Amino acid sequence: MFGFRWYGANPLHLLALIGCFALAGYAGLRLFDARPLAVAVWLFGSVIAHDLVLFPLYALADRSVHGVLRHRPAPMPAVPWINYLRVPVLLSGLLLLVYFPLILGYPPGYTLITGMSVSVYLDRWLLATAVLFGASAVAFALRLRRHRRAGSRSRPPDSRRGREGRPRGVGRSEGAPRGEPPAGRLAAPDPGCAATVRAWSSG
Amino acid sequence: MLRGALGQGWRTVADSPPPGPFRRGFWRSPIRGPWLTAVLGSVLLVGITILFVTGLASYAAYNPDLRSNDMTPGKGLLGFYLFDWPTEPYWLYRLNQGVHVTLGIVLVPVLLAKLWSVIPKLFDWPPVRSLAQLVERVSLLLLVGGAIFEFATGIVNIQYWYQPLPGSFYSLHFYGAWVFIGAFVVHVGIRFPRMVRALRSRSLRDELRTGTAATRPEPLDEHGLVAADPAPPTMSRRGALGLVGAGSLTLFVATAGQSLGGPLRRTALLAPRGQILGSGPNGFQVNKTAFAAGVTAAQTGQSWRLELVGAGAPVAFDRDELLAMPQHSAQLPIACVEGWSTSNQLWSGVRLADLARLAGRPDAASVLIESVQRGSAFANASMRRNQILDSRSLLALRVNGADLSLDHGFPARVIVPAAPGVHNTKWVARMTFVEA
Repeated sequence: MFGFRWYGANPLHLLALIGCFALAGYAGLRLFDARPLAVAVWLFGSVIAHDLVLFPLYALADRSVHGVLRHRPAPMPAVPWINYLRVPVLLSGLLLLVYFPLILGYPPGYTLITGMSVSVYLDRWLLATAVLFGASAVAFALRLRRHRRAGSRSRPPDSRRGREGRPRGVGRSEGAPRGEPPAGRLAAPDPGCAATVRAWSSG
Repeated sequence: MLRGALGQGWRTVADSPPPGPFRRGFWRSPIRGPWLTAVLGSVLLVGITILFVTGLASYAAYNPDLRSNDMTPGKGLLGFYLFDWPTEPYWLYRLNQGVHVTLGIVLVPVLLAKLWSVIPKLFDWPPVRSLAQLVERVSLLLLVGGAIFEFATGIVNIQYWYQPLPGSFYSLHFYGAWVFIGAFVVHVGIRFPRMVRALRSRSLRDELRTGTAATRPEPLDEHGLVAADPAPPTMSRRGALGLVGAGSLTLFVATAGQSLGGPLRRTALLAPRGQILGSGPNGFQVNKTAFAAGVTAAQTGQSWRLELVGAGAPVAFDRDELLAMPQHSAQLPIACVEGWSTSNQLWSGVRLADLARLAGRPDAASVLIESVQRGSAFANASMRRNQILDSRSLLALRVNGADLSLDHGFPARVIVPAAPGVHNTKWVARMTFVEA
């Protein structure tokens, strides 16, 4: 390692990386051969498309949903709801991300090549999306009902359910030292929920 | 003096990142951390290795060293590993491509989650701490760019959306894989010890028992993945892994049926070959319709002849003469590079080995098979000796008890066990048997 401090890592690190660049160069000469600019756009544009477009978009969407729905005048449900939205959005979005060429009917040769219709894919994706959101809505409705029943009976839920999920904002507040027991801070809409929160907080 | 001032200036820059994502407090997810990254990374390590190996195998399946088969003639040493593609087991290519394409699609959520888990590193401040880090960051550009490039070209190709591709799919996907794999191997080499340490830092079993309420951030790490100012958890690590798994499962369900065939094809709701094409003996998936291939009834009508070229003068046969020869049958699937396949179909026709004998070259090293189709890279294909001599390799005239349909290659098509679908040339016009 002596004399290699200027580099900042083990010489093996440098050797391996130069080897990697050499192989990439050898393959790259062939990859870029026909249409270098277009290939570069694909290869490096894909990084920009993910890191500086797709990621910021979905991260911002997630934050906005939190923010917008939280500041609605109507009281929010006292059970954690965000994942009932996240899951169907994500699953439907993944299907769209992978299969958008067929869903949007982009490939002009699809019918010609396969002998089948391309128009079914938009229908199918919309139906899949409907099923995903519908199932999530049903699951959320059941969850709300369970929560209300627990509330009307004015008793804390069993410990398993208590640990499973909890309203957003309940638990360790922002900036609280690590390892401290969670502190409840929720405007509970009914005494049942208040009891629930107390149970969670002390648990 | 100057050096000292520069050093001072650098320290000032390094200690005061611009606002936004360059500051550690910007990233607030309480579940981001080395353990979660390591779990996703280990899945990708196994998955991408399988993708690379099945990809290389698929390239070998085209026998690119034979005349007319090579889609990447400039490959140089990148084809160093090529071997004679076998005909045994007959479902080899079907399995290989089904795994390659379906696994690739199923790994999309894992790749996205892995990128999400390390995104703060993109905004590391200062951007460069040492030459080593600079060099490594350049290799990460190849790693991430190469990975997305390979996934994107593959996904676009199986949906027949060729227009945006900046070249031939074969050349892009093959060379792109080699550009990517060096960076992948080096990345695994550098990060493997850190991955193992991170995996050992928490018990998977405990994580799978921990709900959202009990979720705490991982201890602050030197690499800057763990949030310094974490938001309250809205999802446990179990939930996050479950969500990624649900994404993979959803894509699997929407895709895998096109490679399983039979009644399961209907379950592949969004896969390019998830539709039932028709019923009857010829009602299975068509690689490329006669219309798309530009093949007309006139080319395949009464005037059609099969020409055999080998030792001596070429000989020609019409379809009735071929039907009068000894007929053999074989149960074989059609399996495409795009990942879809059919279940076994009962093909019948003349053995390629018998045709080699008729051409006067029973020991031919290879055969060049030409279609009446014009102007396509796959209007012809070459088969090697082991493929000619396999008793299931046929010039098929009938399928499932009926004459071939025009879309399936009437009047005659080749079917060879374990060969890529597109090499099973349809509308065959000439076969040239070549000695070594």
